Amino acid sequence: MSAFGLLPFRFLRIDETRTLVVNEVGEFHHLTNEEFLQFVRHEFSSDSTAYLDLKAKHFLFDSDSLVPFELLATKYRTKKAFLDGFTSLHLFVVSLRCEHSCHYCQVSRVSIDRARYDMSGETARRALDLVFRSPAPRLKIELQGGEPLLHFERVRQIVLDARMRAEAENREIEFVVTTNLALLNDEMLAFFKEHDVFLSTSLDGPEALHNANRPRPGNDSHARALEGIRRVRETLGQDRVAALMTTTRGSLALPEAIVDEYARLGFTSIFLRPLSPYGFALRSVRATGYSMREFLQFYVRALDRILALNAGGTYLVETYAQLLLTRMLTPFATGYVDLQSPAGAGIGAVVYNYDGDVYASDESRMLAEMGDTRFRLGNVHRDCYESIFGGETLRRIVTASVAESIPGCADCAFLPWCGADPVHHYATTGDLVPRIPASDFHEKNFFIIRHLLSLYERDAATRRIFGSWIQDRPSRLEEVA
Amino acid sequence: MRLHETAGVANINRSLVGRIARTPSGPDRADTWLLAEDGLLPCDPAGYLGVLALGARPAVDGIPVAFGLRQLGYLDDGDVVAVDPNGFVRTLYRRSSRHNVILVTEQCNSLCLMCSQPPKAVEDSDRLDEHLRLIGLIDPATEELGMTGGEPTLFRDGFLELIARCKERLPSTALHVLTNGRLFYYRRFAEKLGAIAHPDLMLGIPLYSDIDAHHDHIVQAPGAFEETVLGLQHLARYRVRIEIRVVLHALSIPRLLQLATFIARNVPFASHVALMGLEMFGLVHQNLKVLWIDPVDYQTELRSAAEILLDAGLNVSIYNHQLCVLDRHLWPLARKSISDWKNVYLPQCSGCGVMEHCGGFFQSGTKVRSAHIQPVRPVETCA
Amino acid sequence: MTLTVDLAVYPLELVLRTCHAFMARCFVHPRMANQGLLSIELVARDEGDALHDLSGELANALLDAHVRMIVAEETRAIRELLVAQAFCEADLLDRRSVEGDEYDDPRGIAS
Repeated sequence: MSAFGLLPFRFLRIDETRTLVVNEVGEFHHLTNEEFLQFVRHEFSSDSTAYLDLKAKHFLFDSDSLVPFELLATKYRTKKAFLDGFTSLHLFVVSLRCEHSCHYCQVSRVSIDRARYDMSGETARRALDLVFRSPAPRLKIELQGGEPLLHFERVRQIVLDARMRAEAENREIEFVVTTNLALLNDEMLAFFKEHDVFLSTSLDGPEALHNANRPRPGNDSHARALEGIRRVRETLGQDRVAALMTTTRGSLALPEAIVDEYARLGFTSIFLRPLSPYGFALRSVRATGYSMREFLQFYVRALDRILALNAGGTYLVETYAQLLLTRMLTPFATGYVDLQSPAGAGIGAVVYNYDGDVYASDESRMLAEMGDTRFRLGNVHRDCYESIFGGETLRRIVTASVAESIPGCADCAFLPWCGADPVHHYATTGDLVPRIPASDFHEKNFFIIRHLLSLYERDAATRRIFGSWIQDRPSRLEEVA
Repeated sequence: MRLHETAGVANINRSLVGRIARTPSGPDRADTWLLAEDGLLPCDPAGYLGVLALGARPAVDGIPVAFGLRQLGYLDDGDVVAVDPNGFVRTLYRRSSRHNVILVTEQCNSLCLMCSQPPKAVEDSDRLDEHLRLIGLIDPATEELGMTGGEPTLFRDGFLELIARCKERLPSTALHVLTNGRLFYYRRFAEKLGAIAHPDLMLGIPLYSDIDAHHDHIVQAPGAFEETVLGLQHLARYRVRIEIRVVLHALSIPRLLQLATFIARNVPFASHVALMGLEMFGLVHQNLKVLWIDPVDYQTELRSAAEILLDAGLNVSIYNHQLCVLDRHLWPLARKSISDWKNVYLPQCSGCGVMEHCGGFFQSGTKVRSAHIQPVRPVETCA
Repeated sequence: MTLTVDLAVYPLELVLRTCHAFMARCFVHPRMANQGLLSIELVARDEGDALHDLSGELANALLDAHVRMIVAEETRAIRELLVAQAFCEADLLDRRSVEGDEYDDPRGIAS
């Protein structure tokens, strides 16, 4: 028995014999159920390894040393450091026009001759005014659509204008264009090269799956994407184009094939994401709908394949796992808006629609397209920065997204690693605040976190792979022959 | 190679510090020792600080002279030498060396069980003037300079003055200071150091356990863990670069993995982590029973700890380990850290295919060592 | 399936909070019985759904919830202090000692 005090922590009965404890900054430890009882009853022996481990990991304190308090406060601040820069990611919907008709599209795309669905120069200028009001030290502008290359002149203008302003204000800025690459030409490539623009494209998997998901005239989306990727790599560099996949019903049976396609094409990251139930996706729900449980089965198989590839020497990161692992295994925060508390909607990232309307997230914009404008923050032509970013609408969203106050989240052992997605909850249940046990956001994160924990415990080789993902580069220890 | 020798002296009534010149020097004569060999001077010694004579005393009068030196024949232009009134001649700096170190003080407020430079309870703050003078004489083209002790920060303002003088006189010289960091528990002391804004300063600070009582025991100073850990936080706040040093022995190995995790979570800002084999100097001998563990017996822990640190994005080096006792996965992290002129190899090393990559042993380290020293066969080293 | 909870053992708020976590798996009907007892009826969401050991699970969940409540109470002040300290420019911890002077050395580090 010894005199010690508890530091704030959470717990979960992780299996039959063990309890997982997680402290306020996401450090964790496995205790036997017996040890856990001794711990909460203050009956721990101060010689035991478990006692020492909990002390070092700041679950208990036994002296008047300032160390645990200073370190916990510092680490807590580090975990919330994403708040410092406020809005750093700015998404511009440059046009709603698109020549693809992807089943799961979240944009109410219009066919390519509807030029009134393009963002005007004036709208772009005013949106940039707002961008540069942000205090973020590093700005990222993402140009999307529809298909932004259909309105390339606007892409040019925004990049040039923003660069000029960034240089004048001595600020760092980065550009990403999200495009299906089908319309890429030499002029665009030259421009992207000159201005260090990154490209992000869609690759759902092998050709048949990809084309089935993403119809376009000629049904050659996959071939065009590959051609575009090749040209970008050739002109701009190997790492200048990334790909994202969307999981559809058709994907569920093909996790290994999808992963292999990414590996075959030399990508170093793949983001396994479930479909959001919005927009055109909602209309075609019978074709593309599936349960979260089915997605998670797909996820496990795909992750197994990815880990096997890594073990064989092919470096391929699963992006969602990378985010969670960074939150679980390091003292640092991450920038992904849905895994933050408060959520990053509006305060981390913001969307400027083609017509100047400003939204806290893509989901908010989608809801507006379907008639529900309650998450519109304002309009660049009518509203000032203060009323958009400090107004009632945004405050309501932020308040509902502090996981520490959400029933079900507040007590959850995984809270320090997880986040909140209020607009998603609203879109799926009509309430900004999730009903946690029934929420698919909860189901996804709870499952994946548990799964990653068990993989982490499994063997050192998996831990090394996870470490290489967190560091964003292949492992440095190879056996010297 | 000897760094000091006792010479015959004349006209020296206080310690004199100066640069060596084998050939006539220019405008800095008042700071320069003219080096004489076999009684011959390169030129008229008028205006020089004095004469250092290798071998016989040259025919000079009325100026400081130290003669009869036999061990310091390596001295060359730009080297810095101190001569004390009692004839003690000390090489303070060699321009051709990559390992110049200023021993700031012999006082220390810790008494580590494995201390390789046992402290002396002597009031030696008068060394400060000599150090300041030395810094002024060091060639600004010098790439690296070390500062050790004892505990350099015990000089407090004097320590800060040394750092500031280095910034002023040696702005392109990387400065590596070994310190226990305990006085940086006082936030304002760390703030003052940060305010100097030395362009290339790194403090090498030891942390031997994630548990306060264990660390305090190893350094034989209650409260040291708290002081060092808070010191680290303060130094990070004021942007002073840190290296964490861990000496590997029987007391630090049992919780080495937990220490690695602790460093990854609480000192993620460390520029470097040095995992160091035991040096057979100083207090190690009297504490050998509690400290000694054959390196071969802790390779599993060492590898796991290195992996934890690397996975956390920290830079890791392993010092003072012979390659034959080191897990092969760790070879890329091994550094030849023993100074060129201090290291030796053993008879059983002959035929080893990786000798040129291996640091070998300290001269003093050949008696107590791993039972597993053996040559690495050439055929095993195919690329 | 019904579980009876003695409100002298578990506060009502804690019981309801725990029941909330079960609502995805069944319908939960709490009702006051007599003498400070709360009766919780668990009803299958779909006909034919087996409730298995849900009442046993709920009983165990109450135990865990109770531990959480105790831990939260014991650590509440520290938690609030940490969060405030993390965001506050000024210091809320008693740092008189670290604000000391390295010459005065109140802690005696140099000796």
